[in-house]
Amino acid sequence: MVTFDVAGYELAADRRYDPATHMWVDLDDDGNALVGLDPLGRETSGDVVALSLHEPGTAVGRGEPFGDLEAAKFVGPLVAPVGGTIAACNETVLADPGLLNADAGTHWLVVLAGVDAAELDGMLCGEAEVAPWFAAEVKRFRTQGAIAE
Amino acid sequence: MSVPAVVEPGEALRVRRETFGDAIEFYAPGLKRWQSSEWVPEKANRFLPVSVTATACALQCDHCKTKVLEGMITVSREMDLFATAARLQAQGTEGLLVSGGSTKRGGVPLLPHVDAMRRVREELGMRVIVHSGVVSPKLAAGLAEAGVDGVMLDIMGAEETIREVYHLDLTPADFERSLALLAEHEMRIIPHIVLGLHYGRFLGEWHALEMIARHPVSTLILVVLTPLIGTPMADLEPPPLADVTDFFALARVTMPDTKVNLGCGRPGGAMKVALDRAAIDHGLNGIAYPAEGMVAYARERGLRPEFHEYCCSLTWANA
Repeated sequence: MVTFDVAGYELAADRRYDPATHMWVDLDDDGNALVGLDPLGRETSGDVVALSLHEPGTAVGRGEPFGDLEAAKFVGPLVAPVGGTIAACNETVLADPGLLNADAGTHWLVVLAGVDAAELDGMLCGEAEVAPWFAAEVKRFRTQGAIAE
Repeated sequence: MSVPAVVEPGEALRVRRETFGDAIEFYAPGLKRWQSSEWVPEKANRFLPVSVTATACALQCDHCKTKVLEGMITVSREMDLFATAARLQAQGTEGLLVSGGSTKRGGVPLLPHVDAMRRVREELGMRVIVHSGVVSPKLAAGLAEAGVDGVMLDIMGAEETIREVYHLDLTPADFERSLALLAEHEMRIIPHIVLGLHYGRFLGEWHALEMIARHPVSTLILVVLTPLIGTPMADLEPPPLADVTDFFALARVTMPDTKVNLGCGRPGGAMKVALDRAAIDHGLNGIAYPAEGMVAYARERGLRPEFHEYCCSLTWANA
């Protein structure tokens, strides 16, 4: 996996990133969207203790919850970066949510089918787009105390 | 101290209703981003924690290993406490928890910051509460002079726990002395007891409760050992639920006139739900970050929920 570094965080180069939800999206060969937490989404949540995901077959719109996360610094809904129908939930992560603490970059949460291409276009993609936004977010979260300064 | 007789939940709830009526208080300070289907706080950053030592701590306690400090805002040489508070106030923050790592003597090095605390209160009009750890006479006087709104400290009742978990060469009497010093200065004292702190089992909790009950405390906060990833306790089980809930009832009847809240430190998932239900059933006054369904459950039990977007130690601010 090709990655690039921003302020000490490693980001996968082949993903789309959603500034509003701090989720990444990785499209598979069929155009389905694998959705996971980006490094700041993970770190600002703290250590994950519990995870629940909506059932496959559930339709979610962009900005709507597709599950719930309980972590040391965040308790609340997981919000979809793009709309679609949940085609699969990651049973491995559901069984052991602590996996996200070690590596949220490879552990996807849900697969969304039928995503809208226009919504994907609204996400950030590639180092040139992602790096400035991500660096500014690191600064913002440090100022707020959400991550260690 | 021997293990006290179990208090029936019904008795605990009766004692609670007699003194405090039907109100139950739910709290959501800004210590983490939080919302439930029953309550979405309006302003997540209303109350924020700052550390005067960044992530440094001389104790390296087995249950924390500075993990708790990692989510706090750092006070630095470049931006002191007053400047930090002013910056946060500009973003909407109304109160601070001034905390930090401990020295080898068991206290948080707050003394250099007491003048800034006074200015934060007087010039910015913000609320200031502190995590003090063990208090020296000088620090107690300084905090009183600064007019801080409350002082929070963990009280431990077993020397083994103080030595083995906190790595401190102190005794329970040193913690009781801190309570006495703060009381002498008429501070609002908000003691915490970490239930199951001795590697997941109860040891000094009953003695800690005895000591606390001898002093005029504002609010007692009960928290439950949460095995944190990256600490020596990471693989431990939290204390048995029944031990914790028995302690809820005991604390309630031991301190019938003092507010007793379930604080934000407690295990998550299914245990959190069970703990929160028990807190309601066993007559506690309030819960920080209530689990899903607890607002409805409190109503089912005939209680009247109140919602506060600040720390559950600030109970006097509810009036």
